[in-house]
Amino acid sequence: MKTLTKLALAASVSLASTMTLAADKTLNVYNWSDYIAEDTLPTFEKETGVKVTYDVFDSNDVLEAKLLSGKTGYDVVVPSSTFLARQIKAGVFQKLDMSKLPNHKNLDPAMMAKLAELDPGNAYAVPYLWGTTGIGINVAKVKERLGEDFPVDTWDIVFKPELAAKLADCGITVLDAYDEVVPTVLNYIGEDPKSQDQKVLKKKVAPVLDAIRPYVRYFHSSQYINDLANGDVCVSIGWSGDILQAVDRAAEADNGVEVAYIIPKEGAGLWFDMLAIPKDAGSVDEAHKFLNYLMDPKVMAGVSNYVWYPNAVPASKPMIDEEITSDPAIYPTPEVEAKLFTFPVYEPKFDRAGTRMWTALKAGK
Amino acid sequence: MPQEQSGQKPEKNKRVKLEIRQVSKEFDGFKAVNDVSLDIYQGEIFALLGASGCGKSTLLRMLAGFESPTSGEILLDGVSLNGVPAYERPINMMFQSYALFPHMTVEQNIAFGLKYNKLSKPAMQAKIEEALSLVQMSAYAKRKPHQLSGGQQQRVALARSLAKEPKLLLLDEPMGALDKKLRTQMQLEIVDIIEAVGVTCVMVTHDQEEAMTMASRVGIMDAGVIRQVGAPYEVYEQPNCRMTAEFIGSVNIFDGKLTVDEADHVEITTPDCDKPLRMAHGISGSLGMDIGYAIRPEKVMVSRHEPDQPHNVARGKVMDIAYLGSHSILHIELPSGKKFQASVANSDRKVVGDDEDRITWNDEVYISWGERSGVVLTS
Amino acid sequence: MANTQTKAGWPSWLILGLGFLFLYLPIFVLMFYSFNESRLVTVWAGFSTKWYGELFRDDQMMGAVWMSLKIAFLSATMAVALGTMASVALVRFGRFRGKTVFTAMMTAPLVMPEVITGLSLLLLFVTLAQMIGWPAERGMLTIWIAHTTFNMAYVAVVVSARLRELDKSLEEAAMDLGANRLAVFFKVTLPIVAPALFSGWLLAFTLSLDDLVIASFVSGPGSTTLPMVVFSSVRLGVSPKINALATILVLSVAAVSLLGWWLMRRKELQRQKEMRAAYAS
Repeated sequence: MKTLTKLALAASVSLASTMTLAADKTLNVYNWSDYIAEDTLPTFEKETGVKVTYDVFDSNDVLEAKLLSGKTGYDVVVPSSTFLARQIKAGVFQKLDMSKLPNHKNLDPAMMAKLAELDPGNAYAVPYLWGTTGIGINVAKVKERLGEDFPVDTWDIVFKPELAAKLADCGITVLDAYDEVVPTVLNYIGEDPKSQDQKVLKKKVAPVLDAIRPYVRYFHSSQYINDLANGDVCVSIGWSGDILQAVDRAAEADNGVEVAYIIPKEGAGLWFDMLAIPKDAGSVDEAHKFLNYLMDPKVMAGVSNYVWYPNAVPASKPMIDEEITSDPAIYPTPEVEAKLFTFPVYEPKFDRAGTRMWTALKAGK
Repeated sequence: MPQEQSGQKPEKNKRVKLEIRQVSKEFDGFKAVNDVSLDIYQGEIFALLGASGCGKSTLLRMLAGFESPTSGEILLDGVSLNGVPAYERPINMMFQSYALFPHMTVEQNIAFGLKYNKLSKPAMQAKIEEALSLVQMSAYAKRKPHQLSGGQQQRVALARSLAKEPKLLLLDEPMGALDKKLRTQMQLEIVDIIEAVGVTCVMVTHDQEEAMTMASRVGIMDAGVIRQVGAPYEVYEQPNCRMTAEFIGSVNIFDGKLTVDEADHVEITTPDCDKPLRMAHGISGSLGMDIGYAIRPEKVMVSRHEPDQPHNVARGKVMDIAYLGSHSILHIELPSGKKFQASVANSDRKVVGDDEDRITWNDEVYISWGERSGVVLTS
Repeated sequence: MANTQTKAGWPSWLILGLGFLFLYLPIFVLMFYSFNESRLVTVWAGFSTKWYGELFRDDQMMGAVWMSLKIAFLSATMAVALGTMASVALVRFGRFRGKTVFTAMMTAPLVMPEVITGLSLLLLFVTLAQMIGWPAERGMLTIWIAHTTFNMAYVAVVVSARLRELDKSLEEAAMDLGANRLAVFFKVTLPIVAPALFSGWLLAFTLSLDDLVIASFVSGPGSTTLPMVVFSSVRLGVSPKINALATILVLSVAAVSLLGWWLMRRKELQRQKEMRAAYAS
């Protein structure tokens, strides 16, 4: 009897202690798989004593569905910037406690200014890694059609009908995301990429897209990775991360295809993967600790070295491999960087008009 | 009620084992069994005979306890079975498909039912062996059902039902799954076993031959009603209604009117025959009433020359001949257009009344029969 | 005569070969490249087992594999229990009010888009948590429940197909011999439909292991399953670790089926021996 009581007591005590430990010292992170350096989490756990559970999602939509239905159980989530802007409006995140984020000053002010358009006052989120929406090309095939010395660092090769016509036979593809393509066209024709003027959309953007429509092989948001790497298409509007994957694959496959990623000189759309804390997060303190940790130059240098994506902490740049920082496809030159723009979050009215225009465009081959 | 009491005479001294009292069964407003009353005697084999859908299976399933009567009562040894579930009835059934449990050996199949009799292990083993030796299947005790032939499976199924020593044994289309040759052999074998055990048995079949071979009494069922009960020869020779006459064997039926009604004979006039039909006994009827007259094909004579008798003669033309080995069936068309069947024994490959040439297609013939050959059908 | 029947001509062999090639070549290629030194799937750079090493060092992936196996095992087992009950109710309980509706509802999850199932379950769990405080946190338990719901439908389809073709008189015979309904079910019905239960279990296990969408919706902290890791890693390029993992899975499945076949064969030989003995006696 006595031993039984003792056992029960011991069990309840140990249970209680693990529970308090669990309540205080855990952090649930929801991010992409492999989207962090191998030692980032162990070091954080060692430094803070917080146990991190790292779960992964496979699309922004899944993340959004969970955030909107509430009670995700996660303390730090990593949505992409345009999704983030919507989610902030939906009220799913909590305001960051800047007093707990001393490293916030490390962030690139120019980028923070651009991000403020999506996250007013940078109140809800901090940038983790970022990328651009540019063009992936098959170097040899494009040169063959446009001439050896043709300057390819321009949106002209997609948006100028006479050039697009020359490239049509080897394959042009466009992202199936009108909210990124429309600002890109606006920027290309010298309008404000954030314009939500339906007249501008109808009179200026649609004609550009209609003119090149006959030369577009397909609209798709992931198929081009393989097609570029295999040499099946030669010009793709796409995301930097994906096209750099195609570059790698082509290089490793050694199949004679050379893929390059271009951030055109006219400028390109900029997107971020953002760190934010859901409103109903359980470990708010630990979440802030983690965010602060992820703004440390040394930590972010480690992350960029592992995943080959640029970060928003300038002080980390010297510690990042030369191979990464010197690649203008990853870290654009200061002139180009100045021309990068964030994608707007559309009003419902414009959104409807845009979707209609896009559907008509895709259908009207 | 058309149920004739004639069939009960020989069993007068026997004890009633099973009593079916005004039992009906309805399915969604359809009366599958309609107010059936029937007594089954101790030790007899009773066959419920009828076409599919006549209600015989439903009646059997009510005896087994798989269906409960909508109204009426079933008594076994004077005790009502109403509300007693199948697994508590001292009644066992042999299924048409045998329903041997495929995952058990022959031995286990038989043991399955015995387990519920709360026997000691040795007693149970003894019962199993007894049951198997009864059906001569002792050598196959360890086999699974799929390793047995159809006949062997049936014996095991019988042994399984008998092992529990039921007060009543039910057989559902017992030969339905066997081929014709095996059927005849098994029919006799099963009757031998059942009679050796002495169990009262009710079987259901659509095969009149089977019913006649196996059963001591037969009940003809139609549309949920028992039309006639009697020994096999009775229902064949003295059908009490059109349905029974037509169901058992082949028959020719004339429709006519009662024109002579004497104590020792009656005569019926029918438009199909020039001469009246005569029967050598009286019936309870009134002159001028509509009446049927049935005559079996094998009781008919066929000849080329008109026989010299004042009644029971008809003229017709041979339309078809079905040669069946032991006998032939002549299909004869009467002047009225009525089709008539006559069976002719092929004793010397020649036809009665004609020395040289056999009756053949399109021959004009006379058919005739005696005044004790036919049966009057009043319903 | 017998020869012409047993001997297949070369065209049949060719078609058979092509069929098997079509089915198994991709798997063999995948297994082959799991031993590739290079990170790239399409280029052979020498034999190496390093991806197996990497796989076992990858806590995220091993954790996900373990999680997926646990959920698959539990949900398949649960689905077999519930799906079998449902099938018995639908197939054996005769006609009852709303049977057609129930039957249709039972099979609806089969044709329901996964996104709908996933989202509705997510909303259900959120609402439940708000109303009764359970489940307090989504995770393995909620994925288990979610997988059970759709697996149950598959199991029910497989089992009711078998139940429907099961000779009803077997059950009646058992009852006739003295077994009540419960005994009939456990001693006769269940043993006879056991193979269907087993294939239903395997199907459920596989479907659970395979499911991404529904699990994604109802997962919570600490319950990342294998498909989530695989699909999430597409964003940064799939590592050959996946090949190594797939090879291990394929080989385990092959080993299990081989073992099953060997056991069945042994049993069959035993039975044949007994049969010969029965004939001899």
